[in-house]
Amino acid sequence: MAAPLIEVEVRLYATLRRYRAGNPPDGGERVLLPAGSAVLDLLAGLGIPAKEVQTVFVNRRVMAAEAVLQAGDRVDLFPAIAGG
Amino acid sequence: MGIDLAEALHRRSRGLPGPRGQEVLTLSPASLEEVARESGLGLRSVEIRALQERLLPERYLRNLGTLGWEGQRRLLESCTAVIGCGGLGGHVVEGLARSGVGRLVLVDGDCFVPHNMNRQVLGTLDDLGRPKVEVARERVAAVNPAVEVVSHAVVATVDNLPALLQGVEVVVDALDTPGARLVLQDVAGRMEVPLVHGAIAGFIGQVTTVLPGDETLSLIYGGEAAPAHGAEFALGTPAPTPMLVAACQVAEVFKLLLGWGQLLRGQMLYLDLESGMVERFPILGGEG
Repeated sequence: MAAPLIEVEVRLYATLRRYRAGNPPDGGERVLLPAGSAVLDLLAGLGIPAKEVQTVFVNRRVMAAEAVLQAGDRVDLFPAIAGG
Repeated sequence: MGIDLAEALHRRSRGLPGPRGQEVLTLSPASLEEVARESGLGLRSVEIRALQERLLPERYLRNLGTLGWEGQRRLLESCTAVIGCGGLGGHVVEGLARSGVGRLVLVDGDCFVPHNMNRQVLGTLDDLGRPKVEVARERVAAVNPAVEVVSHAVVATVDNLPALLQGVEVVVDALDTPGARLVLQDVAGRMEVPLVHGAIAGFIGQVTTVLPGDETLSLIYGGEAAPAHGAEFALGTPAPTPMLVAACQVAEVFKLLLGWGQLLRGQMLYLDLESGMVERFPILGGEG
């Protein structure tokens, strides 16, 4: 039996936006995924290579990509930013 | 022997409307230079003495309402290092010098090349091929000769940074790779020097203040697993982003030197010019 679905809100920044042309800069994109999914599963579902994601925030807290998501979570994903 | 400095300064002062229109006794750049010449003192010392006499170097008149007399004197007495004098560092140097941060230690091993010209405010076509710190030193001298500059045309390394940061009260991270930034965080931490970090890629920038003992940048860049470069490798570094982030860094330097305001400690301020998003994310825990 399939796991129930949860909805999370995903905000992508800088280079990560090119993987989701429709990702709205404000308010984020609502994404459905199976309960128990981790951030890594979310990335796979969105077609974003995990190695391009440097910093993961879940509900504005730094998290590992292995963190399991809950319904209603806000996920902000950043690449490394290092230029001067 | 020597001149009566207070008298020499008072004699040259003139009243100008300051904050709320109240009269402030000011000194023009030319009169300050005259007093420096006559007294044999450096211009920075003369300006500090003037502030003690409640005489304001006119160039700081629009600082006064925010920084105050004590704040201005404190800035003139302070020493800040800027590591990297490119896109971010150039604007930071410009801001600190105009504000009257009295001593600047500038470190950058690069010379100006044409692809710097899209954003690096200190460089002009005449400067192509010249060391950035040399050009920066000349710029500071032209803008605010009271500011004393020590410039080092070297790449900052774990070996030379301890000597370069001697006597520095705040260090600005205006470097351009995760690795170099982590080295600076490490050395600054060991030397008990607070660090103001800024970084850019495309239309996004980030700013944080790292106090000694904090490892904010290790959490952001992944410590030893840090990538060789960030999204700037793909997106480049267009003009508005370094202007914006450097401005935030200059303000953090003020807050550190003057002890006021709320530092961006343990949190990352992200500024996304593409979407207009400006938000602080907690990195080290605590209040967001």
